[in-house]
Amino acid sequence: MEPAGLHNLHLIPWLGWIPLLPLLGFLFNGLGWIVLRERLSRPVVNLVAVGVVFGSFALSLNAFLCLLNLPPGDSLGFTAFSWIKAGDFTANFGLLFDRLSCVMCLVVTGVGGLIHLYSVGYMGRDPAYARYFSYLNLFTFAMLTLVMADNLALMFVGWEGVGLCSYLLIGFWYEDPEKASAGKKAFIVNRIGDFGFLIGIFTIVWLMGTVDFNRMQAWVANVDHRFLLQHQTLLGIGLATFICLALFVGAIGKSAQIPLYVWLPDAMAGPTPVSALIHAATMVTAGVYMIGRLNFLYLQSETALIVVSLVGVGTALYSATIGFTQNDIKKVLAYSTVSQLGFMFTAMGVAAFSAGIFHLVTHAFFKALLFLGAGSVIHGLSGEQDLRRMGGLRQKLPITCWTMVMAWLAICGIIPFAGFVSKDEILWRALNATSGLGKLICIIGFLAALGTAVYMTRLMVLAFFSESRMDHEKEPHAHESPWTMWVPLALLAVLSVFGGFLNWPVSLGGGAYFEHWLEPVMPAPPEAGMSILGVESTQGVEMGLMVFSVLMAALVMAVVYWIYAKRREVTDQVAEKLGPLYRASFNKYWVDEIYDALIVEPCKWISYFILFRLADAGIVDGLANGLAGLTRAAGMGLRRFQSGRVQNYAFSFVIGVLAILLYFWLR
Amino acid sequence: MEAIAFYILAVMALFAALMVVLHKSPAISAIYLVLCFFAVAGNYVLLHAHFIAAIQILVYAGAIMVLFVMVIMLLNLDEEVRQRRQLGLLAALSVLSGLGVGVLILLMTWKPGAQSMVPKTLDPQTFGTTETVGRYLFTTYLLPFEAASVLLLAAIVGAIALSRRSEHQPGGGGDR
Amino acid sequence: MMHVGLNHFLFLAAALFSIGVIGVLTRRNALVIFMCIELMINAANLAFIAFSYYLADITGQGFVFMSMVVAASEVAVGLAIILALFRNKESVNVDDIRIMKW
Repeated sequence: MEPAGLHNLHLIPWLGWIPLLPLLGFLFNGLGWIVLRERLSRPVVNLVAVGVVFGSFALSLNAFLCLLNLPPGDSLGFTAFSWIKAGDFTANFGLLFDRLSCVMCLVVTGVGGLIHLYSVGYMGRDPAYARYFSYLNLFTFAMLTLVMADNLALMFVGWEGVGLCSYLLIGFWYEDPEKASAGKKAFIVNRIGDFGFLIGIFTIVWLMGTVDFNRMQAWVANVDHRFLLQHQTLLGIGLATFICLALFVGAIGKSAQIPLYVWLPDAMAGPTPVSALIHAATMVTAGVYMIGRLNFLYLQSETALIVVSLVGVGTALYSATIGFTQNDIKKVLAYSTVSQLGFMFTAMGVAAFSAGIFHLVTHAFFKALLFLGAGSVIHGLSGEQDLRRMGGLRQKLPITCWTMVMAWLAICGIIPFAGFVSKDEILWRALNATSGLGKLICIIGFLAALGTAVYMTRLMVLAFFSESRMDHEKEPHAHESPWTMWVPLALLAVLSVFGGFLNWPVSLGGGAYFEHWLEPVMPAPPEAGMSILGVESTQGVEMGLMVFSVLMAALVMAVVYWIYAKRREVTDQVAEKLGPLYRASFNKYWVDEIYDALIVEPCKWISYFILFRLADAGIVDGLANGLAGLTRAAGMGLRRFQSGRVQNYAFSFVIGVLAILLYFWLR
Repeated sequence: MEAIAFYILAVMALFAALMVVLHKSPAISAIYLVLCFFAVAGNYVLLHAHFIAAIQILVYAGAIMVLFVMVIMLLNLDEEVRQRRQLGLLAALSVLSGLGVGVLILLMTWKPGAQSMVPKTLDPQTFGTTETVGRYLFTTYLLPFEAASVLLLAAIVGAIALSRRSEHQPGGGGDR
Repeated sequence: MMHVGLNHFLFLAAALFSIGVIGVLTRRNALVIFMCIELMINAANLAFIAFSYYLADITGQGFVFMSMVVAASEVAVGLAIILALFRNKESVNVDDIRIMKW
């Protein structure tokens, strides 16, 4: 298996238009909004904003077709301009379109474009229309920079850019202080992660002298360097592990894993298309992409991989349990996102990199669909988000309902939907992990998958398949959404249904095209040599696992459906019986409260008492005021010399003359 | 002969100067100052500065002091109310510093042998006469001489401008 | 002692000068202060003349001439100022003139 990067890089200048188009859209809409305000016509905004993203999609598609015709391992590239040049260290604004970034670009621009289209309908009546679309375009630009960057520094620029846009879009309706603080929370928690990310980048610069991916890969390929990575320690941790974990901290922040996931549920304060795009399909997947891109580095540290997989699978299960009890439809989906991201990291942690990326892709399809569908529900119910006040929407919102059913089946892993293929792949790879923790991870992951089935079924039943509990004022107005909203739903539903065939497993007769496509960039995980339960035949075990998981998922779905549709009082009884557990789940395990007490309050205390009172007001102001006071006192003292009496002045003359005379006489 | 004249004139000058400073009435101080000027003029004569001596009498005693006396009369000043002149710190210090200045000057310029210093070759007939000084002023120091006349002009104009009564003040002796 | 030399004249000049200084610093009446200033000028003139004689250089006397011109102009203008001051303040006591006090 040759490392990529030793193959050819083809220079394609028009590659730069892929991120540039959304940037231009941002500038157009942003400046237009500032200058023209309401006079900027909505159709123009729509055309520009949606158009640029679909334009980027078309270009990405074209680039993909180019790649298809090239030998594996070749990639397209383009350097826009030289950015940093300090001695031997360079970091350029360079774009890399290899097989991995190709996948990411298509997802970002494709799903992103559908969401832009959806936003036209969803945000149709919002006054700050152009600002929304300019932010959305800016986000697209930043995300594309992130996935197309050919070096870590530029990737970090995109990383920060998406964080910024996340803040701007979550707090879009900033007049509401709660929404504004949700934006702040997202940004600040991200920042904590970014600190780790930066430490990782700095260590890489120090160690390898470059942040360019190709050169990094070449550096790591060197045997001596590998030795260094394995055996030299930094602060007691092996170098490779240190770097990987530091970078992973950034991923934890950006991709909402334990312990930095707390911003994602709060981020639901933003408009629903934003939740779909940023917090489901694209931004939060940046951490997964990063590990995928740097897989050659992570493969050097088993410890880091174990940590990644444990954090991932732990978060998957943990988050699913919180989803059981939430009443806000968007919050359920938010925790679901955290959970599914956990699955992706589990895959990365067991070195099944392409499986993780594939789950990223399928998740983008069905999670975006779910969020957009939820948005459609919210839109149709004039802002209702509480599941307890929904129901009976199957008749009122049929398109939304049936497209969401597709997503529901996909996420629960029912064959042959997309989610089934990706999730089962992950569980299978986890089982085969070389680290020895594979079985544990697989079991926890399996439980998390069942948890997914539980909360998603609950959501679907409460929203669509139960009797109507809608607010009586809203019920008559409940309506299906306009075409700009249901067309993306339909397209995403198709992808959720048929997307699985991209990577249909070999054991079921498929060709695993996706995995093979990514092979030059991301080495396939080692095939199983282990035997479970003493059984040798791995293909049989794989099929057995698949059958088992599908059956269990279907069973759980049926049970939960029945309970919520027919015997809902059982849920209350269960909630009572499991009192403390229920309360813990409902209150999100009080994590926000704990963070508040342990971290936020002390920070605020330190900021106020030490930094403000002591340092700023006391020392700095004291110094400044003290100097002024000193000058004033000196002035007050010295002004007594101005007595206004000429004779006093004459006296000073004489004293001066005396002094001069004395000086000359004594000399 | 000269020594006697000198001592008499010196004592007169010093006495007059002291009375200027010490007497409480400004008019009497002015008179004493005139006396001092005369004494100094005498000293000038001893120093063969005849022209200057004459000018001293004419200008200082004759014009300047007349001005002073005129102003004193014009202002009709009372005797300076000698509120127990605060023999305060400032007064004492002033006196001391004044004396100090004098002492220092002396210390710096005292040359032990100067008593027997013979004046350099000096023509007693022409030194200090009007002709000599005049020739000096009109040749070597012509520019300062002319500048001095401009200065006088400025002083005249200034004095008149400053002492005019403004429109708003009452009185003014109908000289408009 | 009987022979009067340069030192004697310088002594006289210094004494007159310091008496003048004391007068300037001590008296309250503006006119008297002015007169003491004239005294100081005279002392300086005396020193000039003495040096002029003992160095046989007529420049000293020329300088004294200029000095007198300046003194005359200065007295004229100064007295005009004192007159103007008197008109405004009804007093020539320097203690009363303290407008420039801080």
